Amino acid sequence: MEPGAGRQRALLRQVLGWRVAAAVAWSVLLLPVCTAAFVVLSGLDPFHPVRWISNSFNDLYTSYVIFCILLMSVVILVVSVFNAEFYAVVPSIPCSRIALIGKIVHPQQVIHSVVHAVMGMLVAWCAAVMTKGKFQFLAVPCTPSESLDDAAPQMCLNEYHLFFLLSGAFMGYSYSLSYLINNMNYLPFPIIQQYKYLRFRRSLPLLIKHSCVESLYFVRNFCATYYFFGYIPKVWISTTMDLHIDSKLHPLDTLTGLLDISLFYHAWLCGVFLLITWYIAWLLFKIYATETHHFPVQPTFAEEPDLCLPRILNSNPPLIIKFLALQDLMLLSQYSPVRRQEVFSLSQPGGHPHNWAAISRECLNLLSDLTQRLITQQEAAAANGRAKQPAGELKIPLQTPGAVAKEGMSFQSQRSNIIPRASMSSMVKSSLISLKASPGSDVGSPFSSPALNGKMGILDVKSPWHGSAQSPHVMRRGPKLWTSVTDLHMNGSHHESFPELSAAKAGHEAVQPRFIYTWLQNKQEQIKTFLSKRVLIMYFFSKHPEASIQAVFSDTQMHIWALEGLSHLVAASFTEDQFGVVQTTLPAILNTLLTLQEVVDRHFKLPHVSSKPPRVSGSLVDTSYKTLRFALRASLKTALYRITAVFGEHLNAVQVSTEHKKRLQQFLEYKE
Amino acid sequence: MCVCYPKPREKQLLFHRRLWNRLRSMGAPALPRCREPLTLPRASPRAGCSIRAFSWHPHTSKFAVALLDDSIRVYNSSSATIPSLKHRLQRNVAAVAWKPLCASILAVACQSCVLLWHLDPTSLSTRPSSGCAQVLCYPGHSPVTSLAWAPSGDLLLSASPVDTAMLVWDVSTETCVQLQWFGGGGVTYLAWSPDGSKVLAATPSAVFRVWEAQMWTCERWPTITGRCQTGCWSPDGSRLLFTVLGESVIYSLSFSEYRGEMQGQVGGSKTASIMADLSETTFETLHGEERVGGEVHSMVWDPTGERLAAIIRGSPDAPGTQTIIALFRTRNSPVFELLPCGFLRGERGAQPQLIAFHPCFQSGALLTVCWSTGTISHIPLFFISAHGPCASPSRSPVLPSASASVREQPLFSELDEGGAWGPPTLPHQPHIPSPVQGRGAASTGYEPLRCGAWCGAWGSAGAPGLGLRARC
Repeated sequence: MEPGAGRQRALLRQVLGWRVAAAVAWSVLLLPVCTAAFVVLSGLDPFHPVRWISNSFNDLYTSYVIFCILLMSVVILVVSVFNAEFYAVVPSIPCSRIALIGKIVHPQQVIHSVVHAVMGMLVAWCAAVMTKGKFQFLAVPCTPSESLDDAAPQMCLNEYHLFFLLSGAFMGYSYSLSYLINNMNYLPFPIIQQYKYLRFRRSLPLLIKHSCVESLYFVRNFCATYYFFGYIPKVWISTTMDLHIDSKLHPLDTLTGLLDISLFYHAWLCGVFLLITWYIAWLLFKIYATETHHFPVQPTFAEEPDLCLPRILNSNPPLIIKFLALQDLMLLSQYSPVRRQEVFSLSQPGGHPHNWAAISRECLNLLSDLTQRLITQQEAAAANGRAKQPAGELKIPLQTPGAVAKEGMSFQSQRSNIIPRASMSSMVKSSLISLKASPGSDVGSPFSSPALNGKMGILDVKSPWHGSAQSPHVMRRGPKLWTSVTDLHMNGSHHESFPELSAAKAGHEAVQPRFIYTWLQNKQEQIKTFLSKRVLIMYFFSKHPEASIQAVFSDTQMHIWALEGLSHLVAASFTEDQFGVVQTTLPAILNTLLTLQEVVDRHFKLPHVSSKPPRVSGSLVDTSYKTLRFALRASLKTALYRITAVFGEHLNAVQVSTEHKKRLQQFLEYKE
Repeated sequence: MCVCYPKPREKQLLFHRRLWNRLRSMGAPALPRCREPLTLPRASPRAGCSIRAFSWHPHTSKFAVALLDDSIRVYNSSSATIPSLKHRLQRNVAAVAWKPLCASILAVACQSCVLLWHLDPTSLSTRPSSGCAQVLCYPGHSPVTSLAWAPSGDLLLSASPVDTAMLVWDVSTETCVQLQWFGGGGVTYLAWSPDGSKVLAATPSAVFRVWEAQMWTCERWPTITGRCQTGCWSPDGSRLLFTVLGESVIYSLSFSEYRGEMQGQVGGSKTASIMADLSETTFETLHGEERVGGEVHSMVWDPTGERLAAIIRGSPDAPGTQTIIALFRTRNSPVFELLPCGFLRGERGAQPQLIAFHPCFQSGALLTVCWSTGTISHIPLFFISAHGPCASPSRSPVLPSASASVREQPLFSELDEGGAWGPPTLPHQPHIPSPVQGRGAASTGYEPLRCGAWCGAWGSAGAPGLGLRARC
């Protein structure tokens, strides 16, 4: 385990290390520009433009500003380290409000927030020092009072400075919070490849606008907070630092104190400065990290074999490396005939299509994993809706992931694994229909509802799935028609442990009269309805259907690339594959794609699943993970059409099941 | 090597054009005249145009037609139902385009947005509900007048003449990326090369751009007289033919072969060459003198790369000229050749508005023409595709025969007399009757063309190296 982890870290450093370094370097280089803009704007004096400009340019060279730039560079460095540590290519989507709260109070997030608050305070201190005027120092000599007998002037607390520092901390914390809530650690990959400079330039106006607006909200919120709680830090600082409070000046935690335009403007500008510098660091990291990486298909002598595309795909690298590898696969399959040729080539001694086998196997594994996940999710959803779900069927997909993962080179076996799954799903449908049609006829069958069983007094203990069908977890979950990944895992473990449980339960029940059990169930039901009527509890625990679906599809970008890469390679193989290596895998590929197509189609027919993507506004924060399932649906269809359009009638010679043949025919006739 | 055109003359020409525009716009009462070419950039003038846009489905015999009342009809050769698409936002439809590698998605460029209709090919409904339409809009991106799908089917380009940014849409997720540049105004015409590697984007000013579709960098091409009117790509994406407003010539621009290794390079040659001079000439026919020639307003290249059709509009000042479709025979390898081949004319008073080739016609090429009378006619051009190395052009006689839908009389037909560019070894072959002849075409015989006059007038511009130069 240890050497594996070490190698992974080395790989990560090799691919991602210089990117992070470059992103940090650029954001530090851009810092003086931002600082200069801040200095110029903070000295804004529209009535004396010449003096304003000349003063600002003089200020730029002062030691204060240079020291601030150095300090800010450290801040940027720390923020970048956090960006690089917290990034995720698969967003974590909280499905309910309680999960969101759990994320906020997670220790990792608390550290993030605290560090960002401290960094915000540092930035605000720099901003206060660079703004000069009344904001510059924390301790100022008090205004001389009328009693001139005090020879030594007393030092008073400069509340403006304190206000600045606190607003900086508040903004740092708010930034951290919005970073979490908006999933800003998610790295969205761009839909088109562009040069980094162009991507940066494209996002810059949006970034500035977003920072200005955000800063406005933050300052507003901070003013409200300061109005109510501002006296606490004021008193605390003045007592610990032995500073007086100037009675001549207006205190700031009053309405009149807060209605100071100059204070508001400078606090807002400080916020804009803070957000712009941090967002630039974040944006640059995002741009650098999602840049394409060129993985060689075949190892040359100079390069490490570890960095080869087939090797990376088949090992279990850090997710970002896997994403980059799949992205590279998609690009090479689409744009580079030379590299495609390498994929189709045979190994030199031996003549095995190792490259193609490794790549196609990994892509097919990814896709069939997704198929299984979706089947499980759909059947869980169906089980929530109706009690008559034959729960035994659930176990088939639960067992398969391991089997598929262990599968070696043999695609034949993989195919045989997939076909029954497809027929299985249609079997599920037909069994459900037959159940609906004749509810009375299946009394003794294992599929019959437990309520019915209870009434009839029949208890079929020997049936292996009796327990799970009867379990309150499946039945009594109420009309919840969606589920999430975590939920699925839970379900899975439940189902595996049910047979033993139910056997014990059944032995117990054989002695106990039936009504105790029903009474217990009734009580449970009552408690559930009682709880669900308490609005607060429902508010926190209710799952958002949209979020649950998003969670299921959160890593689908991988599958989209696998689909695109495979389909482009297969389409290109029609003319470019000299040795016919793709032909051997074609049936497996078609079967996988068609099965997935069927399952995805069925997913979009589920209730609570919208068929159209939600409107995405052009904001800085990328929410593309919310629409990944639509992208998957579209690229799946396109991938199938790409293959059928190139191969045409030749596909009739490919061995697929009759059901899939029908489907393929529809694709050939452009009727899907 | 970047050679720039002598600046003073360019400026002078521009000045004259501006002056002329201003003088013209003085007479116009309400509508600013200079806006007109902006909003309706293609060969579809407002008056007398009953069909706004036309698009063949890229894989099946199905096409969509946008009518003057902004409804869209979808005709399918294999079904009798004709769905009519209407939507609240479907106003001022300027272009329609079917998504490649898909059975059912139709993109419609509207005043304020791009509508994506999801039409179930098996549905029998004649009025799909507006729920089937997906709306793509972006602030500041209106009116949308041109659309282009990536041949791989995953991206959609939309452009507006008043928005300087072109948008690349990932339509399934409704996300878009702006491709911005500065100078030159918006985009009036978009054409994605069939191999998917390059995109032509013409602007309202005397400049057009060729984008490379992997890293999205562009080459900027200033033209001499006016904006780029239309353009079309060879099937392998290695050659671009385009025309410029105010000049009656077809330019050709060749690109180095795209191999995917030169990331971020468009690879255009340094100069565009004139391929054909289409200035006005007079022909003696049985019906008297015919004057043909002028500016090219629209140009399409058939998917096999062997036929080119162009709508030629005579200058409005000269009374005798007419709008006519000229057909060319083309060959892209080993040397690019453009041979005149014949003319197509509609019924009296009917002017061709839009032309398109069927994307997958088996036995040659099928040209579809939308006439100003509202008729759409399909004109099959039967030939054996000369993809093999030994196939000579003489084996592909072309007879522009009218289909049953329109009774039109072809003026001329070219009969392989060679001409300026014809291969010298051409066997003198008489006219081979086409396998299917339209009713109209059968009655009037084909006249042999006066090759001397035709080629003399049109063949004089073969010398390459003139015209445009790229500014790198």
